Amino acid sequence: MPRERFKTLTEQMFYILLCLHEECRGADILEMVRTLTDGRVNIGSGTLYDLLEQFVKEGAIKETRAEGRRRSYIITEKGRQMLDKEYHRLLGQTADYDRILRKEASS
Amino acid sequence: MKSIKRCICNFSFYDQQAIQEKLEDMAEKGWMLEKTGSFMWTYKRMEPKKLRFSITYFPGALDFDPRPTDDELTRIDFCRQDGWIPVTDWGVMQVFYNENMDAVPIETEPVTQVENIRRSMRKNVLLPHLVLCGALLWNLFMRFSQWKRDIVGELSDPVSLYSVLMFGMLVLVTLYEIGFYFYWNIKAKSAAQNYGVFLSIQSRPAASWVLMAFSALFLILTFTAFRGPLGSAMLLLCAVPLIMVIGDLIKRHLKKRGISRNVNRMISVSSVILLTFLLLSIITASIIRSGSGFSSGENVVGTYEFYGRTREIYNDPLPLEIEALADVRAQWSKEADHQETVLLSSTEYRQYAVPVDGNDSVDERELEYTVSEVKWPFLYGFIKRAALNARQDQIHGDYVFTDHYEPVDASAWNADDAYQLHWSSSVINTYLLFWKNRIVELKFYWEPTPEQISIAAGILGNVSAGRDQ
Repeated sequence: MPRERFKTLTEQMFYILLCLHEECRGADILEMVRTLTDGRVNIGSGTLYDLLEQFVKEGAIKETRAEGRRRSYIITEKGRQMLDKEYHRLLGQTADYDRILRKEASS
Repeated sequence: MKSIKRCICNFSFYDQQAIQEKLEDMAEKGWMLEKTGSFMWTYKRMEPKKLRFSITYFPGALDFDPRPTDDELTRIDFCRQDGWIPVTDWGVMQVFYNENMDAVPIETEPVTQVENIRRSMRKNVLLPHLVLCGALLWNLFMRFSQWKRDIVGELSDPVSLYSVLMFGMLVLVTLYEIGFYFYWNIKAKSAAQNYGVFLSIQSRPAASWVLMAFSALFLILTFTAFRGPLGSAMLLLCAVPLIMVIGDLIKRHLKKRGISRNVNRMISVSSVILLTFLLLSIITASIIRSGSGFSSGENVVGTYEFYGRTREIYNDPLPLEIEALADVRAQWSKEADHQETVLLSSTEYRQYAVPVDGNDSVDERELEYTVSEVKWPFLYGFIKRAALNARQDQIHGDYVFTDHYEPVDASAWNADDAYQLHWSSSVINTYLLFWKNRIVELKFYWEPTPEQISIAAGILGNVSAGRDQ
C-alpha cells in the first residue's frame, strides 16, 4: 500500500517542520538542518523549496514575511500536530526496540 | 577552432540521468551547454572541467514565459545556496551545474521528485504527444477507410502505402514514448512511496531512433514515388520541420519582446495552426492544378478542346484494344497508368474516342480495365475479398440500392473466378476476374459478345501488369 502523503513524515519533512518552530527564512533551513543533525541529514535545495510549497498548501506552515523573493515561514497548529504525531510514532518505535532487544540483552 | 557545437538531443525529456551524464561528459571534453531546443542543443567551448550537472523540473514554469517567474527564481536562489549554478532552461526543465562534486543533490526526496516529473510531463510532453498521436491515428483511420474502398489502388500506390507505413511508425514512436513513461511512473511512484528510493529512468532512446529511422525511410520512399510537382513534394517533405521551426521562432521572438505567457501561447499556437492549413492548401492546390495525370504522359500525340479545356490525346500501348474486339473507326486516346509497390503492381488502362468538335457521343465504345498482380501469395485471398467487398449495397430504410458483384460462369473467361457488377436495378458490363495471382477489373461500355469475352480473356488472362505491355 502506498504511504499516504504526510501521514508519516520523512526525516527531511520532520526537520523542516522542527526548524520552523520559530519564524525562519526558507533558505536558512538548509544550514539549520545540517547544523542540527551534525551533517547527518542533508536536504536538497530543490526539495526544500518543493516541500515548503507543499506544507503551505497543506496548512502545516504559513508564510509570515516576504522581502522580495526572501520568504519567512512558521509552523501552524496543524503542522505542530503532524510533528507531534511523528514524534510519538518514533517514541513508539524506540519503546518497542527497548522492550525487545534490551530484554534480550539483559537475559 | 570552432567555439560552438550543436548536438542532436537524443534522450527522453524526463531522463534526468542520461541528460546529466551527457552534459558531464561534454564538460570534460570542454563543452558547456548554452542553449536547449527540441532537436538540437548548443554547446560553447570552455576549459575542459569535471563538473556535476543536475536536471530538475519546475512544473510552475512554461516554455512561453518571457522570463523566469518569481517562484522559479526563488527555487533557483535556494539551489545557488548549495553551489548549484543555473545554466539554462527548457520550459519546465532546469539545468544546473556545480563545481563541487560532493555537493548535496538538488532533489533528495523521491516522492516529490517523481511528482515534479509527473506534473511537468503532463503539461509539456504528454499533452502534445497525445494530440500528435490522435492526429496520426485519425490520419491512419482516414487512409484505411480509403483502403476499404479501393484496396488494389491503395496497396499498389507507393505514395499511399509508404506514407501509411511512415505514419504507422510515427504512431509507434509516440506510443512507445508515452507507454514507457507511464510504465516508469507507476514503478517510480511505488518505489518512492513504499521504499523511499528514486527509481532512475532507463529509457531506451535506441528503440525510438530505430522506429524513427524506419519512418524516415518510408518518408524517402514516399517522396521518391511522388508524381506531383517537385515543389509540392519538397514542401510536403519539409512541411512538418518548417512549421515547427517557424512556430519556435515566433515563440522565441515573443519571449524576447517580453510578451506574456498567455498571449505568446495564443499567438504561437494560432500561427502553427494557420501555417499548417496554409501549407496544406498550397500543396493541395498545386497538385490539383498540375492535374491528376492518368497517363504517365510520355506518349502525347495531340490535344483537343473539351468544354473550354485543352486535353491531351495519348497513345500508350494497351494489351487489349477496342480494335481487337470490334471494327470501330475513331480517333482514340489510349492511356495507361502503372503503379507498383513491394506488395502489388497495378496498371489502369483506358481507351476512348476523342470527341469531335466537343461532341463526346460520336461513339459510345469505350474500354477501361485494371490489371493487378499480387506479389505475395499469402495476400491474394485478402485482396480478393477486399476487391469483392469494395462494393456494398446501400441500405436506406426500406430501400436497398444495389451495388455488388455476383458470380458468373468463370469458364467463359477461362478464369478461376468471375463476377459481374449489379448496380442500381441493372446488370452492368463490368467484370471482376480472378486468375492465379492476377485480378482484373474490366469495364465494357457496350454489351460484349461471347467472342469478344473470349478474346479479352485470352489477352488479359496472360498479360502481366507492367508498364511495357
